[in-house]
This record gives sequence, C-alpha cells and structure tokens, in this order.
Amino acid sequence: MGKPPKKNNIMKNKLILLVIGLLCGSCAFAQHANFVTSGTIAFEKTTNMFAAEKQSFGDKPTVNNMQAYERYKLNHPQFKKLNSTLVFNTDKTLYTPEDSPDNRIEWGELVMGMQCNTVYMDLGKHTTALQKNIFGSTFLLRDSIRKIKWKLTNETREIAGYTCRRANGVLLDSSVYVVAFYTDKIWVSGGPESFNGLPGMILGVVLPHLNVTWYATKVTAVTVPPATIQPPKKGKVVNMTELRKVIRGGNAGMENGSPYRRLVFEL
Amino acid sequence: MKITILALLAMCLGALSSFAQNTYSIKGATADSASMTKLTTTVTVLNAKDSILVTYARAIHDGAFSISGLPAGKYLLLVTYPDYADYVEGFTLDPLNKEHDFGNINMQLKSSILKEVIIKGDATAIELHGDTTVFNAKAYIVQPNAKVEELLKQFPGIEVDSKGKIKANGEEVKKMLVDGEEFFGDDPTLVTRNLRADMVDKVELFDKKSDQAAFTGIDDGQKIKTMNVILKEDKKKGVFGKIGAGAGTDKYYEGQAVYNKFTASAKMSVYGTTANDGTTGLGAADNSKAGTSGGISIVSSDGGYIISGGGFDQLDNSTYSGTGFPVARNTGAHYDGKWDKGLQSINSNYRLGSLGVTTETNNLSLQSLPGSIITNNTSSNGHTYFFRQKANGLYTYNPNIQTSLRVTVDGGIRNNESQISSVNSSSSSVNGGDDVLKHINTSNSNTKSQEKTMDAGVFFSKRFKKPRRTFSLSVNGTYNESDGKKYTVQDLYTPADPVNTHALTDQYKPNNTSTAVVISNITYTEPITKRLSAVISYGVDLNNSSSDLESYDQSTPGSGNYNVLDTAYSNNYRFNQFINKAGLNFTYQNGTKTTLNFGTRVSDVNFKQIDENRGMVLRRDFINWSPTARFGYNITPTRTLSFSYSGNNTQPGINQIQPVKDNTDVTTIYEGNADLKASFRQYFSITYNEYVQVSNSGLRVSGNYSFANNVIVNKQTIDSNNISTIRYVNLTNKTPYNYGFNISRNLRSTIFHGSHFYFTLSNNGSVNYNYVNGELDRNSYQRYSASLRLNRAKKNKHTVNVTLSPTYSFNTDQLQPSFTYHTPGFSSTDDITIYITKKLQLYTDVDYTYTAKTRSLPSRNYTMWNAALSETFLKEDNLKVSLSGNNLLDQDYNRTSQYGSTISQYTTNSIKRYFMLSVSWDFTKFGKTAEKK
Repeated sequence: MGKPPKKNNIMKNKLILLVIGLLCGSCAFAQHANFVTSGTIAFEKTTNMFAAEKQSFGDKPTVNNMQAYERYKLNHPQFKKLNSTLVFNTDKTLYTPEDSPDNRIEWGELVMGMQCNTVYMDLGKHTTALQKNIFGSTFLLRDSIRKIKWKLTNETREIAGYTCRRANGVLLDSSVYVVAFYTDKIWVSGGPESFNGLPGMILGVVLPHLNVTWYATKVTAVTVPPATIQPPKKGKVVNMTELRKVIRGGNAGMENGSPYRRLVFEL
Repeated sequence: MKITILALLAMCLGALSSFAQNTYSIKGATADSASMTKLTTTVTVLNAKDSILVTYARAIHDGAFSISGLPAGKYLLLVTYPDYADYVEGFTLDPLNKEHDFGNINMQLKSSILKEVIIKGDATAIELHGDTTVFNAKAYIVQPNAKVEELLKQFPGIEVDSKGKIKANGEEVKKMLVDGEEFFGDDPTLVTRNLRADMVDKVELFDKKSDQAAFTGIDDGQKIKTMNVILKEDKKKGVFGKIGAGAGTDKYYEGQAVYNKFTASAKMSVYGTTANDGTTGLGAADNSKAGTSGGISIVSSDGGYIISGGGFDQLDNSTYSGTGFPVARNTGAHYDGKWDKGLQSINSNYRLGSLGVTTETNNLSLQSLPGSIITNNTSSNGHTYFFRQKANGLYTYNPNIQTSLRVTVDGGIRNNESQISSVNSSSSSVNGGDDVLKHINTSNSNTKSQEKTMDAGVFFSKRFKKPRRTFSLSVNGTYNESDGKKYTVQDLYTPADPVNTHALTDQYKPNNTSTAVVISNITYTEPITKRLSAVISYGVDLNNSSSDLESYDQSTPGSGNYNVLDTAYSNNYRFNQFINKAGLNFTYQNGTKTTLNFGTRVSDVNFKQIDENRGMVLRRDFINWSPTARFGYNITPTRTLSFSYSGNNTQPGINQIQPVKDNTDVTTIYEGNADLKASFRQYFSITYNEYVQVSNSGLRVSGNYSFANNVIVNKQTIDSNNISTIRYVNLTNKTPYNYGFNISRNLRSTIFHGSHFYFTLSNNGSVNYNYVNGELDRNSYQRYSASLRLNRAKKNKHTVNVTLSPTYSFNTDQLQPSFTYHTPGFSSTDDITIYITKKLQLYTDVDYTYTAKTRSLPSRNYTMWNAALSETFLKEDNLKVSLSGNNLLDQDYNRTSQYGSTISQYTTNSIKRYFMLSVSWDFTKFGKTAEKK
C-alpha cells in the first residue's frame, strides 16, 4: 500500500533533473569558469631602496658613495611603494603609473624607485608604444613587443585572489633575469610594464638582481570601452637603438654611470 | 644522367625544405573526465628538455584546440583549467609524426598524478658557488618533527653515522654554523639533533678558513670543513626544543632537555643531558683533546714547535671513543645577539660536563721480523673520569663596510682522573719454533690532574678607498697550565735475565707544565694591475713554556712515603721559542671565471730548550718554507675545476732529537738523534665538480698525491727480552708517498620514483718505510672501494637510507712476503623507517662490516643492529613513546688492523644488548612574520 508514492517521487525527481539538464544543456556544452577577458588591475611596485642604492655604485664604491648611502639610510624608509593601473581587453593593454609626489627624480641615483613608463601593447599586432620619462625629457618608443624567453615551473602562488603559476624568464635584449607569476584565468597575455608572453595575465613580477617587485593588489573584471585603451602620443619618437644611444651616451652623465642604472632606464 | 642529377637535386632541396619548414602541428580536445563537459582550457607547449615556453593557445568553445607551425622536436603539452589538475603529456614531432593528435584529453578535478614532471623552479637540489656547495632543503623530503640530521643524511656526498658524526666526501665536518654564526662551537650535534629540519632553507658546505685567510683570500693552511645551516625567514623567530627520558634493562638510562629561543636579533639555547648508554651530548662523542702520553709533548708544525702540557695517561682513555661503559653528564648554554643596527654582535657559550668510562681492553699483536715472530698480548682494565667547564665569547664590531673588529675570549678548567692496571706479556718464536716467553710487565697507575686554559684574540681588518687595498692585524695569546700527580707501579719479569728477573718500579710523579704563547700576524694587500694583487704578510710568535716532572721513590719500600728524588727520571725544562715569519702571495682574478693564487711563506725559528737540572742547553735554529698555489676555474656556473699544491718542511720533534727520559712504559725506550734534519712534504690535489640542473644529477672527480723527501722514520731494535728501543733517522734515498682517487656520481632516479642514488668509486694507497732490527722494510697498501647509496623518503610513509660498499685491499711487505695479501671486504650502513600507521612507526638501523680471511688472520664480521617501535600522540605527532632494542645481536667491539709487518687484534668491552622504553616531547612555536613575500 505505501510503495507507489515512493516510486512516483523518484520519477518526479528524475523528470526535474532532466528538465534542468536540458535547459542548461547549452551552458554545459562548454564551461567558461568565469574567465576574465577585460578589466582593470591595480599594481603595486615595491623597491628595496637600500639595496638599489648600494647596487647603483657598482663594485667600486667611493667614500662619497658610502657616506651618501649612510645618510640616505638615516632619512628614508627601506621600501618604496608606487601604484599603477593596467587596463586591458582581449588584445590590448595599457599600463599607466599613478601620479604621485613620491614618483619624482631623486638625485639620479634612485631611478629604480621611480615609474617612468606608460606602456601600451597591441597583442594582436605584436606592437608596443612606450612613453618614457627620463630626467624631464619624454620619449616615445614604437617597436615590436619585447621578446622574453620563459621557462615554466610548477610552483604556484596566490596573488589578488588568483592562483598564479611561476615562470622564470630572461629579457632577450638585456639579459635581465625575471620571475613572473601568471594566471590562466585571465585570458590576456599581458602584464605590468613590458612583461608579456605567458599563457595568461602576469599578476606578479620579481627582478631579484634589481631588488624590485610588482604585485597586483586588486583585479576588477569589467567591460572596458576600446576608447579607454589608447597608445600614448606625447614625446620624441625613437626606436630601441636610438633610445639606447640616448640612455648610454651623454645624457645626465650616464656614460659613466653604473651598468645597473643603465639597465633600469632601459627596462 | 642529367635527369638523375636533377632528380637528386630536387630530392635534396625537398629534404632540406622539409627540415627547414615548421610544418608540424598538434590538435586535440579537452573535457572533464567525469561529466564529459567540454573545457576551454589553456594549452601550452614547452620544450621537454628544459621547460622553455614555445607557444600557447586556448581551446575553443567545444574544447578543441590546435597549434600549427611548430618545428620538429621533443615537447611537453601542459593543459590547465582553474580547479583542475594540470595535465601534462610528452610528445615528439618529426618527419614520421607531422601532426600529433592528442585525441580526447580528460581533465580531472583536484590533484592527480603527473605523468611527466615539469622541472621545479627554485628547488634546485644542489648549487655550486665556487668552493661552496649549497643544498636546497626544499628538494628533500623529511618526516614530521625530523631534525636537521635526517635532512643531511639525504644530501649526496654526506654521511652521518649513528653517533651523529658527519662526513662530507670522506672528510669530517667539524663545525656547524647557524645563519653564519657559531652555535655551541665544536659539537655539531647541538645543531643537527636540536634544530628541526623544517626550519632549514639551505645548507652550505665549505672549508672555513681563518679570519685572515678569508679576508685576504690567501690560504694559510688553516681549514675546517664547515656546514652552515640557513634558516627560513619565518622560522627565525620562535621557541622550540625537546624533553626526553628513557629507562632500560641492565640499569641503562638516558635523559635530555633542550630549550631554544630565537628572536629577530638574538638566539638563546640551554640544554642538559645525562646518560650511561653511550649518549654523551646530544649524540656525538665529545672529542676534547686530553693531552698525550709522556708528560709533555712537543709537536712540530710548519712554523716551529707547539709545546703543550698534557695528561700522563699512556692509554689515553679520557676521551670517549665509543667503547667501554660510559657515564656522561653534560649541560650548556648559548647566547648570541646583535644590536646597534647589526653593527655590534656577541656570541657566547658555556659548557659544563663530565664523562666517566670503565674500560676492559685486550690487544694482541704479532710482529713479523726476519726469522722470528714477536707476540705481544696486553690486557688492561681501568676507569677514567673528567669534569670540565669552559666558556667562550666572541664580540664583533663593524662600524662601516670597510672596517671590522673581532675579539675572542675563552677559558676552561678540566679535572682528570684515571686508574688503569694492565698486564703485557711478550713472547718470541724463532724460525717457526715454540713460543718463548720474553717478559711480563704488570703495571698499575693512578693519575689526577687539573688543566686551566685562557685564550684571547683580536682580529682587525680594513678596506681602503682604493679597491683591493686592504690591511689586517691578528693577535692571539694563550696561557695554559697543567698540574698533575701520578702513582705508578710496574713489575717487569724477564725470565732469561738471571740477575734482574724482577725489576720493580714504584714511583710518585708530580708534574707541572705551563705554556704562554703569543701569535701575531699582519697582512697588507695592494692591487698591481686590474686583475693581479699582491699580499704581504709578516708576523711574530713567542712561546715561553716550562715542564717540571719529578719522580720519587719510597725511602722504605711499602712505607707509602715517596720522598727520594730519582734524578734519572726527573726533568725540569724551560722552552723559549721566537719565530719571525713572512709571506708573499699573488692573486690573479679574472671576473668569476678564474682565480689563481701562488706564493710562499717562510719562517725563521729560534728554539731553545734549557735543562734546569743538568744545566744543558739545546738550540735549534731553522728555516721553514711553505709554498702554495691554488687555481680555480669555473667552466660554467655548474662546472668547476680546482687544483692546489702545497709544500712544507716538517722539523724533527724534540722528542726525536732528545727525548725526555721517561719510564712510564719500561718495555719501550726512546733514544735521541741530534743529527736529524727536516723533511719536506709536497701535496697535490685536483677536483672537478659538475651539477646538471635538469636531471638533478652531479659528478665529482678528485685526486690527490703527496710525497715526502728526507722523511723521518723510526728505527726499532728489539733485544732478547723483547724490550724495544726506538731511535729516529732520516730516510735519504727513498720517497714514501700516498695517493687517492675518487669519482662520485649522484642522480635522481625515475625508476624508483624520486629516489636519490649516489655512487662512488675510489682507490687510495700508500708506500711507507721503516727500519726493524737494522733492516729497511717497505710496505705498500692499496684499497679499491665502490659504494652505492640509496636515499628515499615519502612523508608519513617511509624513509630508506641504504649504503652498500664492497672493498678490495692489497698489502705487500718487503721483509715479510707472507704478509702480502689480497682481501675482499664489504660494509653496509642502513636505516629504515616505516610508518605502519600515521602514528605508529618501526625503525631499524644496521651497521655491518665483513673482512675476508687473509693468510695470517681469520675472517671477521661485525653487525650492530638496533630497532625501535614508536607511537606518536597529539595532533602534531610531537609526543613520542618508543620501545627500543639496542645491539640486538649482542656484539662485542673488536677491530683487526695490519700495518707494515705488525698485525693487531683489539677487543674491548662495550655496551651489549639492552632494551629501553623512552618518552620524548618536541615543542615548537614559531612567530608569524609580518613580512609578505
């Protein structure tokens, strides 16, 4: 006597499931797991100013250098933090440093603590437009996207709520060693500054020999109108060779500067 | 013909173009393995060899992906999707496989086993930085609550024995540092069995040089093999330690407590142990120097003589060598701290301890002479005890980068006591005839002594404005005083001597020695060219010592009143030594690729020994040379080559020129030789080191060779009563030498899933000479050995360390051809831990040695086998209860050795089988760092 109601319940459940299944059929056909294809990312750049100071003297520090270093240590905090924003859609990215009183030239030796680049990358056409500020002069570099040789690892780290995979890389035009963390949940192969070329968005960058890191602090997935992502236009137009000549020769005494300083300007 | 040529050309062109084209491609489809839902995965292609990124793409809405335009090669495909396990598969693209179709790739949620391993980024197991080898702890697996020692056991080239003694490539590691600082000084187990393995980031292995050698870069010969344990950032602050106790059968017990507190600027530790089961500290034998036989010892160094006071004990049983029945108590405290923004720091230790050992030994030796064999059988039993306190402190002040000051102070007091009685019977068999008894010496000695030491040193160094111009000054002063009293009774029975059948020696010997030494050295470095610099050094050493040893007989035998001075065996000496030493060295440095340094030191030694009793003066003035050269070449950062040479004079010892008359052992008499000249020894070594990051494997090849000219050898004459007289002479027409060659390879195997293998082949040998009864004997010895080591660990499952080592030895003796033999041997050291459940573990270790029989000795094997069953409690598994069985096969300690024409068999009492129940509690609390990485 009590059996039939049970059977009916089971049948009902199965029907409901089937209906839901059919409705969601098209959704279940391909999972997208909420991939991000456009939005903004807030980055924070941290520089170990004491180490950068020391490194900028090269391996022959003069007594003046050392005294200046001690004085600097007494008057400044060890870590300098600067903010920037990366705006991106499926194939374009624009990286802009935040205007801040901290982002000013201090004395030529502390370039590493500054942010002087505004970087636009067109990932589809593989071109980049980079606006660089060096000691008050503005240069506009138009070139192909910077090539980086990456080696993947299986180490992961959480950044801004995303699980990122570590990749070790070498900047092919300056042999600088880079460690980057990227997430394949953001389907854009960009990153802060000129870092690019991984199967996902780069949310963390460490330059161990230059004592500087960039980490994303917040990722916001929003639709970005294409008009917002435009290449910078101001500045004297140069290509990479011409820019290098400017950095290495005759400008603000950099021909005598340490290799460290030149590397920093060329980043 | 033309057509053929054209066809050939066409074929070549075709072949060339197909090689040049990147026309290879891959395709596939990805879906969830359970629900078969299509996934829009990210697909990445990497080089199989080095994980370099080649290209990437995204699967489209139906899960399908394709990549074209790839060159031929071996690759890895990495497929990823959020919340799914990475999928990795290797594939090859070549003319036979132009398109690789992966088909349907099933992705699994949560972790799954990788078929191919992507090389870990920074878990490079080993790195070579010049002479320093750096081991990365992350690449090795240890069990929960494991100590540093368990981590060290897995490093290639490192062996740790059951006492905690560490050897790196065959050489003992004598010093352990923590974050570059000393931690309890000379007992490595206070680091390796105290600090936890999970605190360690990296471990460096290098030869620690003296402060001055490290500063100038010029080797001064002082080298201590050192390991530096670098702690993880978040494990530098916290409290950790261990308390344990155990009680066993046959009244064996042990107890220990260690407490450590580390903060950002200071480290503090306190420990205490007490045991009678062979544990003397946290494990290793306490190897404090106890002095040598004979009252005073004068040992020649390359600069002059080191005169040290010492104990009297002929058998020198006041250090614990792993045999006998010991009772040990030990406690110590350590404090080190930094302040003034790290510009000033202090490092201090205090140690207090005692060790008493009851011994019973027997030594049977057979010495083969032309036409006869001498058998010596010595049994002895006794008890030794020492109690010592020592404290040391190091203060450093680095006001700026160019200047550094280090001040060290240490001191200690040690009280020794020993009572030993022994019987030595000596017999000879001539031409294979019967054994005839030659003498029996029964002796009893009772000694008490106290030793005090004080030491202070300063090291100052400065770098000038001009690069590579430096100056350093080092001054060190030591004062040592030793006071002792010895009662000795010897009864020498010589049956063949009708007059003096029994010779009785019954004496009271008070002894007082004191040494005051000052050693100073200054160095100055000046750059000559961009790559070449010169180092000049100059120093002065002063030594003022005295030794007053008296022997008293009883005025009336049996009265116990020792008041008759025996002038024949009483000595009162004063020693003065003045050394002028200078050195000139050059260093050539080419970036980080090449380092070459060469040069020499020369010492002018003036030595004076004044015999206060007889008014005689012995003077020795001589010059010692020590040339050195070292060449280091970094072929690549992971392949290094180094070569070194050193030479030095060895002056004859004062006891070889004019020995102090000593009747502590009436069966051996020493005679002097005033005509002895210095010998000169030269030493060459070469090492090649290579580490291949990709396969986590390494190779090390090393060789060394050393020989000496004008070596001092002993000339032994044995009389009809088997009493030996030993005299030293220079060997002018022969050159003894020794050599060693070693090749080691370590690799991580994919067969046994992550086990480490370490394989070594070595060959060493020597040729030595000595005189017996006027004839020159030449003895040569060679040993070939191979060793295979397997290390394997899986957290909470098992740890396996197995070493198998077969050996083959050859020995030839010129005077006694019957002593020529070839002997195979085998040894194995293993330990295995198995987790039966997560809380219950079974542990066992075995030490096995086997030597095959030779013509004169039977075969011998020795097995030390221990096992323990433990249960852990609490969430962190830090409370452990164990039931252990030690020396399960109830073995006695014995050792057989052969040198020249003498074979000895040595047996001693040692701790036999016993069972023990013990409890231990590990506590840890690490602070959280505010720093984010």
